[in-house]
Amino acid sequence: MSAQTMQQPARNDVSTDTPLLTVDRLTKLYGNQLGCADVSFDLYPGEVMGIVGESGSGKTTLLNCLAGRLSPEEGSVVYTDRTGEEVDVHAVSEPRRRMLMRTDWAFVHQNPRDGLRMGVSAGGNVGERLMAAGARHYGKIRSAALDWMEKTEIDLTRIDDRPSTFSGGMQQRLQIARNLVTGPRLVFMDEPTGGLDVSVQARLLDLLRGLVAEMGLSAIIVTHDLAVARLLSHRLMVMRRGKVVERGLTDQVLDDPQHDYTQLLVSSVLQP
Amino acid sequence: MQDMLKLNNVAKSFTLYNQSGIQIPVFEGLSLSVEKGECVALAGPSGMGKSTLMRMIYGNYLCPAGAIDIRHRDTWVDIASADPRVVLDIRRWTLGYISQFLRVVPRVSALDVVAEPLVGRGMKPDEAREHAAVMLGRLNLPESLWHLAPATFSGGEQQRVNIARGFVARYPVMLLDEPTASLDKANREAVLTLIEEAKSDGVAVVGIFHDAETREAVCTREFLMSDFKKAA
Repeated sequence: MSAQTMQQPARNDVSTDTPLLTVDRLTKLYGNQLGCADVSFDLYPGEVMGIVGESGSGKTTLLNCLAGRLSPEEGSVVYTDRTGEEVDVHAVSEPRRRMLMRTDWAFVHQNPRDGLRMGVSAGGNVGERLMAAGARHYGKIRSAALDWMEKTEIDLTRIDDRPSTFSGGMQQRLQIARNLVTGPRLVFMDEPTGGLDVSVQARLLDLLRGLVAEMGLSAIIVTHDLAVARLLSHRLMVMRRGKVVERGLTDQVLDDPQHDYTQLLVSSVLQP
Repeated sequence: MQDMLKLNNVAKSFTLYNQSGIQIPVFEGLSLSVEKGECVALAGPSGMGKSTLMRMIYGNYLCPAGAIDIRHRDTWVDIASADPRVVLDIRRWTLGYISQFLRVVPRVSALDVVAEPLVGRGMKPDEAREHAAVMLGRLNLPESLWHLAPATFSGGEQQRVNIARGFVARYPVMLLDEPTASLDKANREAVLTLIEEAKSDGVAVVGIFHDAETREAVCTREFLMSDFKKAA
């Protein structure tokens, strides 16, 4: 079998990687209330990290700080861009940060209405992000939009329809198309399957799993759904009351949890 | 022969915080080396921690004491203390694990489930599916099932998908947890042939085989787990 003689490609050698994102002692307060505290980690190219925890545990706050959408009181987030230059996400100028968000990064919201322009056609929603990243040729933009609608399994005849006429699952897939069309390197996702019923969730998860692997994306996914975390993420951080209480390889954290809170989370899941 | 896996003074216990912090000791002081081409059967009655030890070697369960060294990319790596992404790299290239049960993902076909380890190594999906088809054929899974998601398959059919997935890519070290448990005689023979082929290729195998006939057919030695049982 030729599979067995295949050489190990260098890109799979993790020992030479440098982190895409370096997070150092990130802390965010809301007045006296703790958002998240003292969070540090490295995220490497192609790595998907899940952040799990109950409502109010600070996971969305952390995600917003990581993505530069909220300013932390302390700590830093350093992103290494395509040229190898290190960008301090919270110290860099606003235009530079916005450029990052339009090109290298993507943010998928729980509610597709927060990530889509509801008054603009489906094709326009995908094309707009391409144009923001500098594309100008109408024909190419439209064909890229069609290509991405196909990848995200949206009926191509709906390209000129507004997302307000789409079902929740279609809207979420359109939001993903809009985000991935520019070929980002890092995707932030906040409960991407949150508002969807389970049959639609399965389709979306399968799609996300395939795209992340195919494009070699790095991603940080916030979810309270441990099954979603298991399916999509390589490793996990478990948050409680703003702090990371446990971290590790996804299946290790879920199958052999060490912290009492993680044990409680894992044992509280209902089996259908 | 060359050592592939070295367990040194490994111990494990579980603490159940939500059941009044009860401690469940499993084993302690366990050391084991496995060479190329060897097939070591973990032996002993239920509750001795055979599956637990397998999962620790795979990095699925934490190893709180001792070291689990594996030869990976021509160097020794301690799985017990390795970074998650290093463990994933070990699982991609060096260490295969066939568990008792297939974890099915909705909408993913049997063929793609089996092809996935090769795709993960960078092979083109179409080429990987060809390898997957050959392996499913060797395990006598009817072709009519290949394009269906295995969620609705029988136990024996799921197990064969699981085994095909484990053998489609060659791993220098393999863990087999009851690979023939729910198989009939013809399919058991097919699996035994796969294990024999792996051994003659120099794969180091650690397995749990409750069926004595299977164990005697493929194992080169037994490793008695009850010697390391930790008293409660």
